[in-house]
Amino acid sequence: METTSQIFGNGLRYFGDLLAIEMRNMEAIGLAQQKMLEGMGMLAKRQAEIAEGTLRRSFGAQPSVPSSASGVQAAVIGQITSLKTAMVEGQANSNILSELAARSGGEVANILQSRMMAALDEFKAALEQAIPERLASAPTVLTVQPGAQAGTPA
Amino acid sequence: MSPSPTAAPSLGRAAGALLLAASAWFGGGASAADPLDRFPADASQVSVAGISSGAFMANQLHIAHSAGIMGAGIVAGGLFGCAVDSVTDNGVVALASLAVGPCMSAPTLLQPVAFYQRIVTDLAAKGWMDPPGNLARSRVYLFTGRADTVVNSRTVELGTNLYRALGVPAAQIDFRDRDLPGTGAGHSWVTKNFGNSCDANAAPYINNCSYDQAGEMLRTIYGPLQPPAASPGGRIVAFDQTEFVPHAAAAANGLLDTGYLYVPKACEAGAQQPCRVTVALHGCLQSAEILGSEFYTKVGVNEWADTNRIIVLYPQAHATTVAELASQNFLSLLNTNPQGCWNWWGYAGDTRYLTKQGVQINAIWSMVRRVTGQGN
Repeated sequence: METTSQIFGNGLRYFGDLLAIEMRNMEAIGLAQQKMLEGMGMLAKRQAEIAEGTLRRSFGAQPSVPSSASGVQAAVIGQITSLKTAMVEGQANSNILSELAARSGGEVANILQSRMMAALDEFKAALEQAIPERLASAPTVLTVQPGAQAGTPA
Repeated sequence: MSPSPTAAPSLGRAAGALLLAASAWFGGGASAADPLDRFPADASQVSVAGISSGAFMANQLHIAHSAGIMGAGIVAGGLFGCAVDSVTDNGVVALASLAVGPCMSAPTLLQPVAFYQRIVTDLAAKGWMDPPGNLARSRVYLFTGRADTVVNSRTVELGTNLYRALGVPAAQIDFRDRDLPGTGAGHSWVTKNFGNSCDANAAPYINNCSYDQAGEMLRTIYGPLQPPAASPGGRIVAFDQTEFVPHAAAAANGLLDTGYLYVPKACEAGAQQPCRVTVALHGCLQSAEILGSEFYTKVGVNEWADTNRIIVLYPQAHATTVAELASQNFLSLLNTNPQGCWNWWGYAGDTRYLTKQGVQINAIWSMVRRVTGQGN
């Protein structure tokens, strides 16, 4: 039979374990937030680079005024080529941003999931310590007193 | 063959599965090959060559191990750090989308040469690569086909400019791009008389352009050579690649269990003169698990090797799936290598893939050291 002080001591230790688990959870959330911010920073940086590059190329491409039929043809072909290039660039930029976002999200999810798994293990261990094995393994028998009836104190 | 991380279409995957099954017959699948032997080879006469993703890897190997590699042959690929977004304390942040975008199809988004030069100097300053000053004595052959629709020629041009910026004299660089007959070469290793039509951009990515790329490449690197043999008289040796990978985790790191070596008769044990060694790297969709023996017997290198005492090392990459990765997590899909390419965008979570500490570079360099009798 456990004494009151033993039960109190176990409870206190269990509370301490839970507190430690919670602290580690908070640390993981902090790290995840940091990763999220880093990811957002990288995304913003890349978006700024994309915008800068697009502007630079737009100003760089100065269409000349064609003076002959062949000049007109060359100008139109040039415009089509520019359009195709812009489309390829747009797709490439979109893929880069998507991958950066996916990587950042994946890293955050990895941190949170691995902490969640560890927390569950720690919680299980804390429970095992708090409830001694002999109590946990004792059969829980619900006995009904002879003559007792529902709603009637036995 | 894109040198890229893009997934193959479903039809391609079905065909790939059939080829995979067939490749076990050719010896390209998992096997218990013998350990790699030592040979009478000169460690100061080592060169690297590759096509597409193999070109990117050859370029990485050359720049990372510039003290030990005397020259490189780069075909339809190669711009050091092309997929790198930034350098960090632990390695680099590289993106598959930079590989398939700017490096392959959207060259206007490539950075100026100074950006890639800075990556080299940053990584060398961390001690992860040999000092780039060694490159000044290198001889380099670079090639891009006019009809190449897979890796844009601008990427190869920038790779050439990077070599110049790193101190390789112009006289030691042979850049070929526009002088082949017809519409020029498609994305391929070009041969004198084997493969697809010259302008094809299709499997097996070995094209017949009546141009002896292997010969010109080897002459650029090694200087004047004897004419090639009519047919190779040496032997092909299968060897175990797993011993060169940490924990023998070859598949998880994009390497096949078995690699191949071509040994000319003049380079067998007891040879009177030490032989040269060249590492020839296939591209995506060209490993032995896809093409069987085609790459390591048909690209024309063995014929030149035979008459010029060159041992040819053909390491093999592997198409890594999510299930084969060392650990599965939310980033697993971004770490696969569906087309069996060499690692030039940091797959398998290798943040130092382009340095001496990269898993594949370390494995290939260990193979070279074994062949030259330096390593274990």
